[in-house]
Amino acid sequence: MNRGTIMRSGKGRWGIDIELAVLLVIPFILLLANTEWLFPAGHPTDGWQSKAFFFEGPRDWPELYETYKAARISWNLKGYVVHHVFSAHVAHYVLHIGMFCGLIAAFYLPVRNVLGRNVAFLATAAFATYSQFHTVTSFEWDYQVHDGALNALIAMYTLERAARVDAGWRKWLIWSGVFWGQGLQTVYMAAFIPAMVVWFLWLNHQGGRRPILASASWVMGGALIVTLLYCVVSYAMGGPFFFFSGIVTPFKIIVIGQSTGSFAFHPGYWAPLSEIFDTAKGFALPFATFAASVLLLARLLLVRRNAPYLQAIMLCLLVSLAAAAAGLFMHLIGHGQFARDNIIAYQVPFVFFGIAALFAYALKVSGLSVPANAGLAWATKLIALGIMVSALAFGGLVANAADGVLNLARGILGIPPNSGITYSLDVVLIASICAALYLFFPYAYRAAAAIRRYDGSAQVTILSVCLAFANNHTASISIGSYDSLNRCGYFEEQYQAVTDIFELFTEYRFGTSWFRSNEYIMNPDKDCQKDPVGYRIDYGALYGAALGMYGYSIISGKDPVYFLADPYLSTKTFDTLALERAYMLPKTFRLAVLSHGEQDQDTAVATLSRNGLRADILARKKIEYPPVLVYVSVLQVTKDDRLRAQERIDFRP
Amino acid sequence: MYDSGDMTSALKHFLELAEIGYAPAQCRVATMYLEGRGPNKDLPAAARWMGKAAEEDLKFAQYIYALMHANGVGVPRDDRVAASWMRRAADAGFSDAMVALAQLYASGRGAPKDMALAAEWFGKAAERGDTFAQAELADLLWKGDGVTPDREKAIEWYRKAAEGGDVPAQRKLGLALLNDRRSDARAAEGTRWLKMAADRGDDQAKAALAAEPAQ
Repeated sequence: MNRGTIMRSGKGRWGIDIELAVLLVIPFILLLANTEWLFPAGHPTDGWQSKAFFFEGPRDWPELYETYKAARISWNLKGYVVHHVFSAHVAHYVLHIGMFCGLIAAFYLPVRNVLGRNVAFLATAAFATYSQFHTVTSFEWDYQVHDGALNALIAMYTLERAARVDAGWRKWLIWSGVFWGQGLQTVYMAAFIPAMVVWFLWLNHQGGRRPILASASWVMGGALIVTLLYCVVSYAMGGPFFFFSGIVTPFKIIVIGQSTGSFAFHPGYWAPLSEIFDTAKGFALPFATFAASVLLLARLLLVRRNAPYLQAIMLCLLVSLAAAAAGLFMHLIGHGQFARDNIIAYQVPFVFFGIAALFAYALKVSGLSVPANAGLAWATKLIALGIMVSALAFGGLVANAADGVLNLARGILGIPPNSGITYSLDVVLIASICAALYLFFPYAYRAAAAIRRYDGSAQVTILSVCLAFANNHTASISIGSYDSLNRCGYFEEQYQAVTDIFELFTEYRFGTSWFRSNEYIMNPDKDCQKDPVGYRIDYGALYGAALGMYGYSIISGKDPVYFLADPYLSTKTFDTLALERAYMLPKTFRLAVLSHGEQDQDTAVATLSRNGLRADILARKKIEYPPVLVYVSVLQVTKDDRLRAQERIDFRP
Repeated sequence: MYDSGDMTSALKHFLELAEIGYAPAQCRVATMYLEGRGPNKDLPAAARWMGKAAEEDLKFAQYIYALMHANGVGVPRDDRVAASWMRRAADAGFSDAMVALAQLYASGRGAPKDMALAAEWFGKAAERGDTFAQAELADLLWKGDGVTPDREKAIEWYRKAAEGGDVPAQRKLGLALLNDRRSDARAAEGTRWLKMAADRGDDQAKAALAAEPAQ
């Protein structure tokens, strides 16, 4: 294929897209290095609550009616089906690796069709190894963010097809609506409508020139079809018919009588950009990419060339910047679009359209697309992939190297080390170093005609190093979670323990639980006791995660007795019971005692008895996935009614 | 958040929900102020949020709000207001509130003393399995206080309360059966209940057993 043309899809000898096949190996390479990144940390967060929906499904969906989580039906259904076909452990792999592969393919295809396979390979490799996207603060791994992104990317692909195919464009537009409609399960995705519009209008103008209003109607029709389908599915499974009412304010007013949009755009998530610049790791790469995209776009506009390849680069830059502008606008009017890493993650697929444009520009002057250079092209791509994967798989070593480079750069610039410099500034620093290399080396190469053919390879390598360093430096979770040299992880075992506890609680209709708070147990492996590196098992987190799976079931309950009692039953010893809150406990309730020590179980029962609470043991279980070990008892506790009548008279909280 | 000890973040989270009128969150914010967990203890703030949740028809909140008025916690003590909220929670089917309302009627706090109404509410709570209410209803039936005296019915309720573990009911059932002496079987059952109460530390049961001639 000649340089300077928009490259269409291409397949290998056996009808397989070799580039895509190689890219789909990335999740498995990362898993071979370490599985820790795939599993959530502890603490009762949204991620665990979502996990609970996968187990419980419609049983609790009516309770979600008043929350925004019911709107995530596309994601909830996928998780529900997978968790009902496989065991909790296998389902976690199937769902998340399936999503990961789906995202790789969904990003690769539209980029390939616009910028060609080489650029698509490089940009997708960067996208797939960007830890801020696929591991947002660990316990929100593969959240509805990813389902939204997957749907949006498939919609981008179908829009591209609709604009370019010779026949059947209406069908592609309907599919666009179907996927985009599913992507809109969270309001934060709505900000990217302008980027999608730019994408379609540009491609349509260059391609099929479909009538705009008719095209919009077909897309809307697809979105309507899938929304109605989900309404019926939600209702049939015991959930609300208008499953999206929690995120659409007019529906909230009509259906549940709430006139404010707290769930639609969480006001507590907003923060000023100056603060985000300091604290949000996830803001760093998007910020640097937007800056680079603006500069490159300005240059392309000044050059005013109409070569299709440059036009395609401009399209990707515009898509990226349209998403950034819409996000910035939403943020400035108070909707926190940039406020937290997990919300910035919605922006990521569009950020990487910008990065695809940067790679494309790096390859613009190279001959890597020429068939004669296929070997060099593959070598360049595999080196770039190796650099990006290594930044995670050898994360600790790379982090040390990155720190060394940054400290050197800071020293040159006169910035003292550890001066509170921000992640975003660090990334700008990294980008500046890379930009200097980026500009210097090509000119050096050009000076020598003999090695000019490596020009593009050098630029791609430099950009890959820049992205890899930035990614390593701004990873949302401990870089050790990816590191092949770290064998001290326990999140996978913790996940298995938590899901076992959850299933036990479900069987016995969980009420509330009593656990030893903030208990840290050292990993039995002496090599893994390097505190404060974090190789300690936090049992408070383990219990918190089990409780977190009940989060919204409990808070949404009409009788708040359980959720009120729930958080108060942590203890330091199991020898004493905080009776000042006894007025909250109902007459009878189920109590789960979770402990690391077996003897704590009997201590807890004796303490309850001493305080007028009769405890009948319904189940006792030892859950062991070394190094995680936990004992669980489920008790039926009965409180004396006369004691309760006395508490009413002596009500003195 | 709660379990990792970040109570300030928890309060912020629940306040956001509370401020848009989500009653369970209002109730949770109220209890955090009530106990000084997260924020400093602030009883008036606790009463304010509990009142909002109560207004949203959250029966647990209505019950606690009534207790706050009855005991002057965060609000001036006002038995009439307490009785009014307790009535709303009881009408909504909250059994603790039924017992408390019956106690208010029985003591004449917040409403004119009315033993018939007290018996009615104790009866509703008794039907729901509250052993204290069962024992209190049995007392009223035994004495004919607010209701037509019916000692057989009283014994039935004493038995239910005794079987539920209520020690005074065990003692009273024992005495009732012993005093009846219509059959040896009843007397034997009475002695058994008295022994059970005595074994659980009830001094009056011990005294009654000591006074009982050896069989």
